[in-house]
Amino acid sequence: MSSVSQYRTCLAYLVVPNRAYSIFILGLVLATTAVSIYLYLRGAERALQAGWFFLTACFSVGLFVLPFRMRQLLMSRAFVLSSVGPRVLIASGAFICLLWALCVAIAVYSVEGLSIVAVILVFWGTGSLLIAGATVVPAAFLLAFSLLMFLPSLLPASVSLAPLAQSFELWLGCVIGLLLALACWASLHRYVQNHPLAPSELSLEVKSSHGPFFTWFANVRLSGSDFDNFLKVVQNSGRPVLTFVVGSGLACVMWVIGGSMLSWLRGGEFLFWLEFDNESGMFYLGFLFIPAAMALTVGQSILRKTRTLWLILPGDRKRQMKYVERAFGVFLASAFTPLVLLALLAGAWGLVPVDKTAALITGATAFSILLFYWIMFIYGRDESWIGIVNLLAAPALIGIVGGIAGAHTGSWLWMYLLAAVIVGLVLIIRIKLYARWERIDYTQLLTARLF
Amino acid sequence: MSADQEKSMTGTTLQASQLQRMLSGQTILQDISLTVAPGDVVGLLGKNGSGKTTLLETLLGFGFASFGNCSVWGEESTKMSSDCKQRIGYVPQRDELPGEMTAKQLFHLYRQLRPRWDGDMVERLMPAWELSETKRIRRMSEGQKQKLAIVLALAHQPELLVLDEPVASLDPIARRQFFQQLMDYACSDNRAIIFSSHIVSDMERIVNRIWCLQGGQLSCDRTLDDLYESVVRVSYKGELAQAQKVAIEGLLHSEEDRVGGQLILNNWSQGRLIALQNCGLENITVSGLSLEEIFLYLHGAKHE
Repeated sequence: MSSVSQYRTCLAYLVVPNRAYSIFILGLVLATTAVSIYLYLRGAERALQAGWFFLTACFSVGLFVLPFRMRQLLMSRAFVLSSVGPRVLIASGAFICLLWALCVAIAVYSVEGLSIVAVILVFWGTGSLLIAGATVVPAAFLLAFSLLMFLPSLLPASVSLAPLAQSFELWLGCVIGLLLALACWASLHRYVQNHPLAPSELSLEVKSSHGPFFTWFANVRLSGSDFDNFLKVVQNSGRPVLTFVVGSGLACVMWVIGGSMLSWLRGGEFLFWLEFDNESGMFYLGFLFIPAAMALTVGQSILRKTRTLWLILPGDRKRQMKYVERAFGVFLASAFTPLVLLALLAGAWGLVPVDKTAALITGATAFSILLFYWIMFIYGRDESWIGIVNLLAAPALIGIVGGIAGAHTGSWLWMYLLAAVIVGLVLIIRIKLYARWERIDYTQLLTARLF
Repeated sequence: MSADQEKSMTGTTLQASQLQRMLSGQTILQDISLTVAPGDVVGLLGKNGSGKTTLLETLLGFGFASFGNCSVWGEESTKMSSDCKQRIGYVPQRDELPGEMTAKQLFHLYRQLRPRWDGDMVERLMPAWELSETKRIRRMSEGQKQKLAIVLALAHQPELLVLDEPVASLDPIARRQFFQQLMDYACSDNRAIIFSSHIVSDMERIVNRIWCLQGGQLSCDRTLDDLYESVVRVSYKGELAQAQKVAIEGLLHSEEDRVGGQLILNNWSQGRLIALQNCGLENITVSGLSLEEIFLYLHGAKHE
């Protein structure tokens, strides 16, 4: 196989989704383009720009699937034994990431032509991190709906990147982002080198589902991995959660778009998206609410379903608790990572006041650590990683909570202390939970309507 | 196969000793001691709320005993090893299948979880039991879900099969097919089956051992043959005084007519025939009872 066809094969696998999802994406692109052009021709000058932003956001959503698929291939014995090497795969992924960064750059450039290099650097850093990491399903959905809900705030009438470009914190953020990206790339490379072959019992499950696109993700997992099987059982039927997210997301989108359209049709000013101006409190609150609500639901659901797996999964109660924690951690990390990423984007676009850039730096660091947390959850072959991951996650959480709260209250020290206390309490609760779980009675867990 | 496994194959499959289980301050199981050996097909009988499901779940390690212990192939049931779990098939009372999956997806998943997956058996059973592989589980009827749960429990060739009311939602044809399958399965070596059911007439065709739970206690743990021989109907001619009746050991029920009467006796033996003859009874005939009748008499349901 020539090197060009190797790249082409990898790219095809990485970016071409299954039929149902392709139809969805194609429909989305066509509909958005048609609506944007129509509105532009009717006199809405910002419609094309808004459409491009929207499609770029969708591309961002799709990007989350990329590292996930990369991981599938890297773990596949068949792939590693084929002539297409991991380096080709990584390079293909990086190429897609670069395309994404350019799309974002064009979107930003259409608003403000200045400091585009810095913006690309930031995106390239985060994009590299994404490639080096791995992802899971909820992140894509969460990001989609978060973007749809908060996209209005990404489209201010006038954005000035100049103050940010001159900001020391921004450059520091870029450097940190790139350094961490390099670290992640190095770890990925080492991982590939140290684990050239997946265990023989693992096999790649890449067949597409012919069902609705929501079921697509559940079918793309490793076969033979206990943890993946656990995830499959506890998440496959997470339709109530998805329904909740899809429902609430669509309601918000309809509210935003519908209200704007109504206002415009009545002869008012065209506001394709609502704008938040400096209401960053609302912005963060909204972001925090969705993952928190999902985390509660998912946590409860996972705990209940664990009963079913008692006789199926290997190991005792303690090991099952580790499965639960790991699944919950994957979910939580995947829910909060796009949150922090979006906070970064919002800050870069000038939505968050410039004097709050410290929060962005905190967020960027937290995001990186979360990604590391995420990588370990995904790549960890057993559950012995959990303790280390938690130790790393604690400062990340302290950074996020303290940073965001400090940025809004101005009491940095107290907010960080408060965050540290909260995180400490969470870790204590974790210890207690483990002790409790050792004696948990599965017969007392509800079995009705588990799925 | 490891030496331990080989040893356990020939020894006791399941053992419980002085098992007691309390839930929310209420005693559900009390002083239960039992053993299951390879080849045993045990039928668990009991009224609603007698603790059948709790007993099965406790034996399989879903919950902790308040007192006593239970082990599966020598391993404490709440701390079973992975190998041990792989040798167990379980059909819960209520289906716990993922509704969003199709049977095909579920088989694919279970194949990864069960190293000894018997795909041929699944392929044979699915059409025979008229189950669709492409239908989402949540769209299946209760009976179809139950059939699917049974297929899943059988597909990895477990050495211990535990079924908690597996035929409750099955139609008579499906029940017959199920019991045929179970008989085929039970004929294999080193297999043990425990199942609870309220349809006693079906049960007696397959079990060789009966457990009766009454008020959380194991009131009966006998082989089926032993039960048939020990719980009998005695018909007689003559009159039996009340004091004589009270003195009869193991009397479960008595009926009288103008010329004689009937006694349902537990723990029947030839010696007791002589004792009855000594009471002045004539034309004594001893006949067997069906399992359902035995169950009803043992639980006092036929006293009324």
